Amino acid sequence: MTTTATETAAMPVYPKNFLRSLRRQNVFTAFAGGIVGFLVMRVAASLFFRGEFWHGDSNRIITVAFIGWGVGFMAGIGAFNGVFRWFAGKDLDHAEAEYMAGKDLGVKRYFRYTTDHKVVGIQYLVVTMVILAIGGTLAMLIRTQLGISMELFNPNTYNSFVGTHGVAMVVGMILVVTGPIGNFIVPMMVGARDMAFPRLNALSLWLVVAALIPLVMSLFMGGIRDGWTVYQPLAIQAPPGAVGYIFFIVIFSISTAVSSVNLLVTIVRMRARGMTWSRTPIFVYSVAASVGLALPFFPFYMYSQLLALSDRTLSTSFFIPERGGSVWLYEHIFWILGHPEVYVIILPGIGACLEIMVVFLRKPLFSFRTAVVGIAGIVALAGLVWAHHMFMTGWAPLAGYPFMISTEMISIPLSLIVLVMIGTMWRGKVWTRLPMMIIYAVVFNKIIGGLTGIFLSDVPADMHFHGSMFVTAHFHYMLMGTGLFGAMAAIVFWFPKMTGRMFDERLGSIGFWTAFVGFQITFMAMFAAGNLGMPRRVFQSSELFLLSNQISTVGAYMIGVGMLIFLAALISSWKSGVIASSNPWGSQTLEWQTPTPVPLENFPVLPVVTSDPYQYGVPDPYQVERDLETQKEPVA
Amino acid sequence: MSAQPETNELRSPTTGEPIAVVARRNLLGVLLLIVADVSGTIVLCMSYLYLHYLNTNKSWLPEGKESLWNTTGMNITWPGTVQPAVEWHFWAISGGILVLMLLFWQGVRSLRRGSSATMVSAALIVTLGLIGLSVAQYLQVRSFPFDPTDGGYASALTVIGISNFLHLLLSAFLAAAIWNRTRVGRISPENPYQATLVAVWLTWITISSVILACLTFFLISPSTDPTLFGTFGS
Ligand code: HEM
Ligand SMILES: [Cu+2]
Repeated sequence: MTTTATETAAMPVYPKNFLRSLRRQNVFTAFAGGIVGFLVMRVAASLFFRGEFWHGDSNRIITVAFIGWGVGFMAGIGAFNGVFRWFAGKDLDHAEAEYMAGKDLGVKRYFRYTTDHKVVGIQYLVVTMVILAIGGTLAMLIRTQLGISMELFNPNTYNSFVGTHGVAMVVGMILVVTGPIGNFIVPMMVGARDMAFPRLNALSLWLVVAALIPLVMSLFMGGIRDGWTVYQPLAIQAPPGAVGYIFFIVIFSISTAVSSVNLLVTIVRMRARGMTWSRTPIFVYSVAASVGLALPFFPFYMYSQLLALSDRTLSTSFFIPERGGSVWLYEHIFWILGHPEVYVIILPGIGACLEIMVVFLRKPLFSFRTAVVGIAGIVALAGLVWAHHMFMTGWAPLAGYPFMISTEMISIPLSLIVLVMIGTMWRGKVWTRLPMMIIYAVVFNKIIGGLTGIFLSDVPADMHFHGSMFVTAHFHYMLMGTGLFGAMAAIVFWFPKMTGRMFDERLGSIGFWTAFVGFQITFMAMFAAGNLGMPRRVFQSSELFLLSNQISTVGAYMIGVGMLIFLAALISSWKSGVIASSNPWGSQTLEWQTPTPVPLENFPVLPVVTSDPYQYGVPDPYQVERDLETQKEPVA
Repeated sequence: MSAQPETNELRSPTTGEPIAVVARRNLLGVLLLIVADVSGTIVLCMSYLYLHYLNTNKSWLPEGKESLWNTTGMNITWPGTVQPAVEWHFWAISGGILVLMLLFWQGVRSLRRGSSATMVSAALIVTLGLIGLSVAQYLQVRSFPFDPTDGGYASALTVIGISNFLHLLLSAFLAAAIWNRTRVGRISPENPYQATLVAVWLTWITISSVILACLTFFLISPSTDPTLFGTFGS
């Protein structure tokens, strides 16, 4: 199909009415639909609730309006078309499915309800970067305030910056590997033509976009004052910005459930012929583990917020002690998700590092089995440790000890993975490209984050550390130092496949190492401030902490500059980087065995797998070393 | 794609794969979505039981409305007696769902045996039945002899009622879709899998509503000397 003539001849005839509606729908109609839905429902709610709730209680009105937003937005993008067509019995034929996958649509397909997993992956990358940019900007504002001794913002604004920063970053980090890389790469890595449920894939992406608006709007409705954990009973007393938080989380949770199901089914049911579990790449395991945790646990987060919404709008009292509720109930429900969530975040990042280092060290994983056992161990224990966030809440003080033990136990599988990483490096011949260099940084940060976690999981020590900047520094080593940096390695590594161009590693390295040094300065100083006793989430603190805060702020600006340089490298490489060959790293996993740019259905013929993807020479590292010495350029 | 039709095996119009492959994939998808919904049911149970056992501020049961539970003159002890005003409604609705679920499975069975007719009428009855039950569920929540403001028990029951209501509506939509799709021949004895998926979903809905109805056994809190929070304004 090279000539235009044959192409036109091959163009299928689409049923008129379906395509007419699809053609018209894109991100603009989505926003229009959302705004109309919001306004209509808002007015309707004001009229309906006027008698009872006109004064003061705008919670119900905003709730109804946000429902209008969500429904209008999803209708506007075309999310319900498929549902109604299914109801009516008009299933898609192959040509319609290809149209929905964005065939022959050019750039336009990125602004639509497109089902091709590669388009969804790119959309996720952009959306995630927007979320991280929002969170990052707020971080700069927060650090600016903490580094000086005068008031830049009023306390409420400051608090809402902290809360919004926290929740935006947590969500951004959940998405950053699984969204872009999970969607773009995983189906190809397992040798499938698309995800198991392409339309659900588009649904999960556009739900994230829909969720963002309530988050942004919350800033103008009193903000999220009470941290990303929005503890009760503060949250119930907070201004209606809290409703924005609730909708952000509820919509995002639905998106997470949908995309988790999609990835899990793809991984379990759609692996290429011959890809047994022992031949499945470790990155696929880590994504499966991550979404496998998100699927059962995220509903806890969603329900914690739905019950909070019910307290606000229906005047129930789940979390209001005066009327029979309990704030511990909130904390339990929240942290039953909240802890597994940290593994949801770092597992894909760590899995990507394992996958990548093999390629740059040209030897098999030190022990594939141990890595799998480590991942499985984390999954098995993740749901049993949540109360380490509640040691100091007064809830059942004696129950702290079993949770201390389970928390310390979960360091074991995590350490197994670190050991596999170090073991793989051992006697490996490094090909010093940017993704590999980032992995060294990740291992460093992960060890610091993990060790300080053990301090925190010790009940007596946590009496001192709880609620302090030490906790903040701990989880930034994990979330940012491990999760985000790991994601950066993944993005640089898979960039050639996703965009068809090589990542500018010179500029990228400058950006990354600037951010890395800034990171150490910021958070080492923050450990110090925390250990001195500086509480987290405070607006102005004692002179005692000023010096470490100033150091942290300087470091934070360095991170900011570094990240901007990295972003510049990303954008310029995307626009005008060196054109990449189909397998520039000489990797053996399936996604690299298909042409770049990747054809619509990924593989001309579905691959059959005959070995694991880590057969670099022979498994004996000494042999690999000898081979590499004679080869200079790594060869697959 | 090289869709090599081996004999007359049915293939998906969308991807050209054999229907059996798509069916297996979709079954796993539905089971996993049910896993997520199971977590929701667990949260509701956990909230009910947590507040039940704590009885914070002595506000588990509606204040001044204890008499409600004495209208039958029975002495209430754990596991308690089923009370007409509130609880039997839950059981009646659960029973209704159970019957509809069995009816739907009956339709699926006859579909697999080769006849679409039973499936069409079963799905129609189930749809109407589920709509009826959601109306009943709505009326039940509206006629609770307490307000949502009346403490932990009132809060939990209100939200459980709403959760049931939404599940019923969703299920009614699914059953209606099966009715229509079977009617127009999209679901047929050769291709019955979507009806099976909805039957699986209805089975879970039944289990969930029975589990939630069982909560009403836990009425009087064993915590007789709970933490008090005074009566400062809200
Ligand atoms: C060796 C592994 C780890 C251990 C033992 C550990 C332990 C802990 C403990 C005990 C706390 C509670 C501190 C307190 O509030 O007083 C905590 C907080 C936290 N950890 Fe970890 N952690 C580990 C790994 C991680 C990882 C991998 C992440 C994220 C990817 C993470 C993210 C967090 C976050 C976000 C918080 C603070 C939550 C908040 O209150 O806002 N941790 N950690
Ligand atoms: Cu934790």
